Amino acid sequence: MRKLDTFIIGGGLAGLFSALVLKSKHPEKKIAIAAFGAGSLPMSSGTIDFLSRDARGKFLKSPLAGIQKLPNHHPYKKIGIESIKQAVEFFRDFSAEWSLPYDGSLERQTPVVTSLGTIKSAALTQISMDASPLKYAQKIIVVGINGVKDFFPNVLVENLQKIFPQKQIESVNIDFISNPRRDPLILDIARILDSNEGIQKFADQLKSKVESKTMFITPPIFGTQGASSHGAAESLLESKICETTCLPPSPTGIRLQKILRDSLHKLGISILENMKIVSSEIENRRVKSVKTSSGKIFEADRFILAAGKFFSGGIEMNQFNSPREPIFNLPIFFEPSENQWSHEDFFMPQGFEKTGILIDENLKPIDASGKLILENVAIIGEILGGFDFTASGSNSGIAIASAFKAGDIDE
Amino acid sequence: MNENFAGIRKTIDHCVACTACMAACPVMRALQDYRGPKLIAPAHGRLHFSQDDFDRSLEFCSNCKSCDRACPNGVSVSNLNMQQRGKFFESHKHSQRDKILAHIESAGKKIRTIPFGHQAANWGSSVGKILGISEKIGITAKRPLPIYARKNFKTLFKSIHQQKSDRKIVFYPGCYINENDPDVGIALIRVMNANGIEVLIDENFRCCGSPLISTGFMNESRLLAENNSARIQDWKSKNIPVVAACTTCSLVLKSELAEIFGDDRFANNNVFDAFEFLETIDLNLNLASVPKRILYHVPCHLKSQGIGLPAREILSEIPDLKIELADAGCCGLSGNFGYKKELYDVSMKIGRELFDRILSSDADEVMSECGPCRMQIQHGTNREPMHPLEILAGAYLPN
Ligand code: SF4
Ligand code: SF4
Repeated sequence: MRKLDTFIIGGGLAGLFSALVLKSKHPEKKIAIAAFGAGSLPMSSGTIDFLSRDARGKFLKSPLAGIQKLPNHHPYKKIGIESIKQAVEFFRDFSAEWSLPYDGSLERQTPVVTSLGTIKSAALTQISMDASPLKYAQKIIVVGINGVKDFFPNVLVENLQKIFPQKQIESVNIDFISNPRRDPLILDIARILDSNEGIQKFADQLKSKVESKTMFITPPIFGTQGASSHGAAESLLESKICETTCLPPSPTGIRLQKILRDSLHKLGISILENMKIVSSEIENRRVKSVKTSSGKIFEADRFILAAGKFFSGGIEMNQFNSPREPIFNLPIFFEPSENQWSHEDFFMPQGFEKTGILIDENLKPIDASGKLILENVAIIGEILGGFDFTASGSNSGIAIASAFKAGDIDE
Repeated sequence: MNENFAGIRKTIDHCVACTACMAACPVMRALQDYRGPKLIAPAHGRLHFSQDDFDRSLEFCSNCKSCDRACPNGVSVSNLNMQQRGKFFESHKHSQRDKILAHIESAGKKIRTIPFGHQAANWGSSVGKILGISEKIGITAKRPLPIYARKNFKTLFKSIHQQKSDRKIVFYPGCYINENDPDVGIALIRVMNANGIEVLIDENFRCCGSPLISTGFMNESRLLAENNSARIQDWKSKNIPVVAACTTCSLVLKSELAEIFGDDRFANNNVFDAFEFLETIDLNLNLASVPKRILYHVPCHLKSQGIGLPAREILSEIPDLKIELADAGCCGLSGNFGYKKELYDVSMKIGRELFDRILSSDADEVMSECGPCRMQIQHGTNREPMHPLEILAGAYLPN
C-alpha cells in the first residue's frame, strides 16, 4: 500500500468520527481505518453524553458549565472548550445531513427513558429518544411487543408512574412476528420497521388507543437507518413517540454506526476490517509504520490511536498490576493501589476506569512528567487516561470531542 | 499460534456476551428461525459442547464469518459453529445431498473421466444424472450449477509456455478456478509473468476443504489439511510462496483450519492472496489505460483475512480506472449454502442489497475475487462479474 497521510487505528465512534472530520476538512488526505470488531456502537444507545456528573457524583444541569470547572489536566481541558463546541456543531450538522438528526446542546441535558423506565440524560440524543415532550403528555402508553423478552412494559409503567404520579400511564402489547421460532430481538423488530409495511402494521395496532395528548413509549424499534421511520409512525398516529434505550444489540447505536460508515464510504475512506494492529516502528519519536497481525505494514505520516480500552484490547491487562498499550508501548496512567479500585458506588470515579494514556494540548501522548513521547500520534476516545468517563457520564462526548480535534488539527 | 497469520482467534471463554455478532449476522437478519451466533456458538459451546444436544437452527449458519469480524474479542464464532456441526455428525448420518455438496473436488474429477463429461455436465439435467443432483435430494433447481470449463486449469497449464525465472510462486487454483473458471488462473499467469515471476503448480495439492468443513465432514477435511499444510511447508522451505486467487481457499489455508482443529501446524504464513502477494513485490507499472468504472464487491472471506483491500490498491495503479466499493454486505451464496433447497430463498434475500446496488449502478464492470460471489451476482443480476486478476491482466501491454 502506498504511504498514507493518516492511519487510524480503531473503528468505533472515535475512530470513525475522526476520519469523517479529517476528510471533510482536508479532502486531499489519504486516510485508512483499521477496525478489529464492530466497535461499541451496536451496543450503545447512540446518545452523546458530554458530562453528566461532577467529581462528587452530583448531577450537572449544564455539561458545559461542568466542563469549565474540570481541572486543567482533564482531557476536555486539553482539547479546549472551543474545539468541544465545534465538535458538537459538526456532529449535529453531520447527523442532520444524514437524516438522523440529534437534539440537544452543550448547555443542557436532554432526558432519555431507559429500558427500565428510569430517566437518564445526555447532551445530544436522536430526536426519537428525546423524552422532554413527556411532561406535556396526559396519557402515556408503553408499547411492548409480543415475544420480545428484553423489554418489560409493566416495569416501565411502574417506574414512570413514580416519576410522573399525575399522569395516566398504561401498557399495551402489539404483534409483529407470529409463531417466532426464537425470541425476537428488538433489532429484528427494528428491521421490520425499516419498511413502510412495518410502520403501517405498527400504527394500525395503536391507532385506536390515541386520545388527546397521548404519547407512546416504545423500545428502539424505528428502523436501523435514519429517523424517517420514527417520523412516519408519528404522523400516522398523530402522536409523539419516544424510544427507550435497550439491551444490546441496540438499533439506535446501529443507526449512528450506519450513517458514520455510509458517510465515510461516500468520502472514499476504507474501513479495513478484521485488522488487528500489533506493533509499530518508531524512529526519533516518530512512528514510521504499524504492523498487522498478518504481518502487513502500513506507513503513514500520522497515526490516530482510537483503539478503545480493556474491552477492545487498546490496553491489555494480562497481569493485574501492569497495564500495557500494545502497539506503541506508550506509558499508561494507572492507579496501582488496589483499594482505589472498584468503589462501591458505581457513579463514583473508579480507579480502574482512570487507566489510560495522558495527552498534551495537541492530543499527543505524554508521560506522567509531561514529556512528549510521540510526535505524530494523536490519542482519542476511551483510551484517554486520568479520569473515569463512565462515572462522570462523558464516554461518547470524549470520543466526539477528541476525534474532532484530531481531525481538525491535522498537521 | 504464531503471530504472523491473519486473525488470532480466541476461544469462547473470551465471549463477553456483547451481541455484536448477532447484529452482524446476515442469516439472522434474513431468517427468523435462526437463533444466531451468540446464542448458538458461545452459549452452546460453553454449556453443551460435550452433550449430544444440537440446536437444529445451527444448520442455518452459512460460515460467512460476519460474526467473527464483528467480535471485539476475536472469538471465532463461525468456527465454533463448524466444530459443533462436525460434532453432531460424529453421531448422525449425512444426507445424500450434503455428501454431494461437500465433495465437489471428486465431482470434478469424475466429470473429467467421462468423455465429453463437461458438456454433459453443462446440459441442464444431465449434470444431475452424472452427479446425482436433484431437487428430490434437496439441491435447489432454481439456480444453475457451476458450469464446467472445456478444459480444466491444470490441463491448460501444461500448454502454457513461460519464461524461466529465479522468482517463482506456486499457484493454488482451488476447485472452482480449476474446474469452472480457468481463465482466472490464466490471468494470474499473465500478471505474474509480466512481473518476471514464473508460476508453478503442485499436483499434490488437494481441495482446501471448505465445502467439507461447512457440511461437517471433519475427518476428511483434517486429512486434506495434513496434506496441504505439508505441501505449503515444503514450498516454504524452498522459499517459494503459495498464492491463491480464491479468497475462501486462501483464508482456509492461512488460518481457518488451524482454528477449527486447534492445530498450529495448519497455520500457514506462506500462503498469500494474489493481490496481497502483488503488494509485496516491486510491481511492473507499465500498464495500459483502462478507462472503466468498476464496482467492487469485496468477498466476506477477504474481509476476514484482515489484509485490507489489496486488489483495489493494485488496480488503482491502472491509468483511468475507477473503482467503487459496492459496500452491500454478504452476497448470500456462501459456498454451498445457497444450493440447499430450503435455504435458496434466504440466500437470495441476503443478496438482495448487493443485487440492488449492482442493478442501480452504471459501472462498466462488476468485480469480485470469489467464485461463488460471482455466480451469485450473475444469478441475481444477470451481470457477469470479473475477477480483478482478469482486469489487471488486461492492462499489461502485450510486449
Ligand atoms: S458465520 Fe455467518 S451465518 Fe454463521 S453465525 Fe456467523 S454471521 Fe451468522
Ligand atoms: S461478538 Fe464476540 S464477545 Fe460479543 S457476544 Fe459475540 S462472540 Fe461474544
